[in-house]
This record gives sequence, C-alpha cells and structure tokens, in this order.
Amino acid sequence: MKILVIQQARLGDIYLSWPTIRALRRHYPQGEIHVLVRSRFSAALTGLDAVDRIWHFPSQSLAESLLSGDQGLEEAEKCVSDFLGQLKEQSFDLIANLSFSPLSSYLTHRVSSENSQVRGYTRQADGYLSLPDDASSYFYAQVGPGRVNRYHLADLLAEVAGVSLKEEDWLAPWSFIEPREVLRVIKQTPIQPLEPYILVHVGASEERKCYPLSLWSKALEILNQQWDGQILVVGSAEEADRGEQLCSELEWAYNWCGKSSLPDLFALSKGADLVVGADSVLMHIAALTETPCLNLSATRIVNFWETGPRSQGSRILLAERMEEISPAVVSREIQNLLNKQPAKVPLMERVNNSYVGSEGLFSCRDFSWDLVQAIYAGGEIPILEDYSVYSALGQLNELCELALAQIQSLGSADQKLNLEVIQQVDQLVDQVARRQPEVAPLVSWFKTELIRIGPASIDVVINRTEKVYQNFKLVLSQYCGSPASQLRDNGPKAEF
Amino acid sequence: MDNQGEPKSWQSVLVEVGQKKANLQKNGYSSELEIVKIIEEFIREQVQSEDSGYPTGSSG
Repeated sequence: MKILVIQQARLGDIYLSWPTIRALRRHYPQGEIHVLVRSRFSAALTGLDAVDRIWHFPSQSLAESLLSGDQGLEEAEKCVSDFLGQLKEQSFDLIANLSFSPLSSYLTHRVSSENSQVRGYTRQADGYLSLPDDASSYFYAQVGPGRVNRYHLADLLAEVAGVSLKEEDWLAPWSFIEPREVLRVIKQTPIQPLEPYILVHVGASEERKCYPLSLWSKALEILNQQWDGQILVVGSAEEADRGEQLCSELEWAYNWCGKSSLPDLFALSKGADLVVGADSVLMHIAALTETPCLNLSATRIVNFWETGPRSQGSRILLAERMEEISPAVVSREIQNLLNKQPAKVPLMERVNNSYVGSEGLFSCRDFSWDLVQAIYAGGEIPILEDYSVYSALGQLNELCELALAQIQSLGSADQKLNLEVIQQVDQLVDQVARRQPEVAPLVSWFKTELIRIGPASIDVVINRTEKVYQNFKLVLSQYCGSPASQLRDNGPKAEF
Repeated sequence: MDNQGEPKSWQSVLVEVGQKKANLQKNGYSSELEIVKIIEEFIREQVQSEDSGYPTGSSG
C-alpha cells in the first residue's frame, strides 16, 4: 500500500497533521507513507517516524525560473512537469490531500493515477474542483474564519484521510522530550535549569494574528512584578527584534527568538509550566508535549474551535481584535493557570477533549452550529428562536420550489428561460444568506452539494441537480409548512 | 530578468502566465493547461505571502 499525504500549508498545519499520519501508519502498518510538503517547512516532519519518504515541492527552482530569463515560464513548466511526473510514477494507492488550496487540488489530480483512491481537494477531468469525500465537502462548505465550524482542524484532517485518531497519535517523539534532552536544551538558554519558567511566543503565523508588542510588554511587566518565575521568549529569527525589544526592560525575561530548532521547541515546551501565545506553531507543539497553553485569539481572523490549543487545561482569551485583550487580564490569567486557579474572566477552556465556555461567556448553543450538526451528523433539527431566520428559510423554500419547477421543465421549448431562472434563483439564494447569516451554513452546504455533481451527461447532471434541490427542500420543510411548534412559544407565530 | 534586463515581478509573471492560460483554454482542459494552472496558483500564493509578510496557509 503506497500512500501520499499532501500537506502544502505551514509549520502549524504540518504538526496538526502528525496525528493523522500516525493513524495512517496504524491503519496500514506495512504501507509506505510519503509526504509532499514545501521545502521551507519540511523541518516540521523531523521526528515523525511514521513517514517513509519526504517530497519537497520545488518552490525555489520554480521561483528562480519564473523571475529570471525569457524562457522562465517554459523552464518552470518543465520543472513542474518533471517533478509531478516522478510522483505520478509512484502509482499511489491512496492520496490524502490535507491542504485545502487550489494549488494542492491541482497537484493531487496531477499525481493520481487510475487506481488511486483520492481523498481531499482534487480536480475533475475538466479542471473543476472535485470534493470526492464528505469530509472535504464539509471543509469546503463550513470551515474557516467567520464560519460556524466547531470541529478542530486536527480531527478534520483525520476525517479527510479516512482514519480515526487515538490518544497515542498525539505524543511528541520521546527523543525530543525525554528529561535529559529537556535539560540539555534548557541549559543552552539563559534561564536557570530546574527553576519554573513559562514560554512566550511573541509572533504568530501572520502579522495580524500577533498580540501587539506594547501590550505584551505591559502584560509581562505586570507578571514580572507578581510572579518570580522565568519568562523565555521564543519565536523565529525574523521575530528576534520583537523579542529583544520586549525583554530589554524586563527582569527574568530572556529573548531566545531564532535560537532554537523545532525539536528544541518541543523540549522547551515540555519543560515549561505554561505556553503563552497567539495562533501559532507553538500551540500545536504544546499539544504534542501536553503542555497547557494560554492562547490569545482574535475572533475576526481566527476560528479557535479549529486551531486552538489541544492540551488539557489550556485556556483561550477571546476578543474581536488582539488589541482588545487587556494585558492585565493576560497577566492575571497566566497566574491563574500557573496556580491552578479558576479563570477570573469569561474564556474558553480545553476540558476532556473539547472546548467549554466559562460562565459568563457567550452561550455555546448556537442555531447555525446546531443546524450544521443536524445536516452533517444527524443531530436534532434545532428549534427556531428568531422570526427573521424563519422568514429567510421561507424565502429559501420558495426559491427552491421555483428552481425545482424549472428543472422539471427542462427539455421543453423554454429551456433557455428555465436555465436563466435557475441562475437567478442561485443569486437570490446567495442574497438571502448574506442578509441572514444564520442560514449561511445551510446555503453553503447546498451550494457545495451542487459543486459535487461533477461532469456527466446532461441527463445525469439534471437528475443530480434535481436531487440536490430536493434534499435542500427536505431540510427546509422541517421549518416551512410545519406547525408553529417549531418556533418558541414566546416568539411571533408564523402564518401558513 | 525581462527584455530590458530589469528583474521580473510576480505581477508581470502572473500576466504572462495568464496569457498562456487563456490561449490554452481555447482547446479545453489539457495536461499542459493543468501545469500552467499549477504555476499560476503557485505565483498567487507567493504574492499573497509577500503581501502578508508571512507564507500562506491555514494556521501556524
């Protein structure tokens, strides 16, 4: 069994893929597991014994060819063609694309052969996006910042690959975290070995995810006055200036940005009492070393449900923007975690493999999320509490009926008109979702099912399209045309 | 470098790739077109990475 895992995203995504790759090894103990990554991030595979061969996408060669010379494009085409030809020759039995980008979908299609089972984003024969498995279609429809998904990315990757995870899939390599190695790595840093310390990551995967340096400074200054432990600031070489600026005015805080390898970060995380930072690779390393985290998360750009810290006891401070997270709160919550005290502010906490909101935070009950679970996981159809949502569902129901009438009339003399009406229905459905975001997940599911139809004869496409609309109507009929019992008693009554 | 000896930019390369893609698309989807689309998406990721100051990806 020859397996290819495609992971073209960044360091954190690669670490989040570790459990899935390990699970693939468990499922296929005699299998040969290959992984395709970007060479810049391949260091994140160091220590993952489940991998037999690493392939590096030739980013540097491509860039050099494209940016120089008259024949740059031709050279780049040859480079890509040759590289992907090598992969295709492997004749993989299973290809799992754990990236969710257009580029990765084309790569997946290019390297798959007739007998390959493909999971994850790929392409149809006509070049259109293909979502061959339910997990990928869920990802396409429901995952990302601003959307309602609450499944963690690590679990979604496993679903895409078609494997189930076990606790043992989450362990760090023993050679990275065994006590002598941890001591060796700590001794390379300025902090005192065997004395408590916390690890602070001042950077993040993107600038906009970073906690402002001025606020870090205030938070750690307060902490410094109230706690006599050590603070080791880590990050990439590019973040060294940030680290230096931060540590220059603090006692017991040491800048170690750019000075540790990824394996060293495992050791430092294992030895730390707490890891503090924004959405970054360190959170995912801490998940593997089972180190609790205090995660600072801006809800406008990060969906913490998807990429939040997995280690038990971790806490997440939430705000729309990073600037809104108070440094006094950061300092206090660091101390609460260190002293194993309850949180003093509303936040999310990792408890028993799920996120739980502390009292005072928003309700974890959410109509849209409950609707998603009903559609994808057979959960109960949620009761409506908002008449405007009911109204939007009613509009969708009418549009659905209109489209079905057109589909059933296709083949008649007015076929062109039928198709125009269907196109307009399509646009109007989008408008309803924009005006009433609570129904957006339902619309997204519906649109994704249309994408999954794929190329076929016209009769088959019409039949499949009709089926998708009928399924849409089935969900809508739970609310539309049903008794007012679907609405809370104290809400407005629907008219039928 | 372009014809005038100036370093190429990603934007100019993207235009060049776009033109080739448009020509190939006239003949429907093909192996050659797929390679060009791969290159186009690669360039888009490079540009996005430069705009944000960080490489692209979903997290971390």
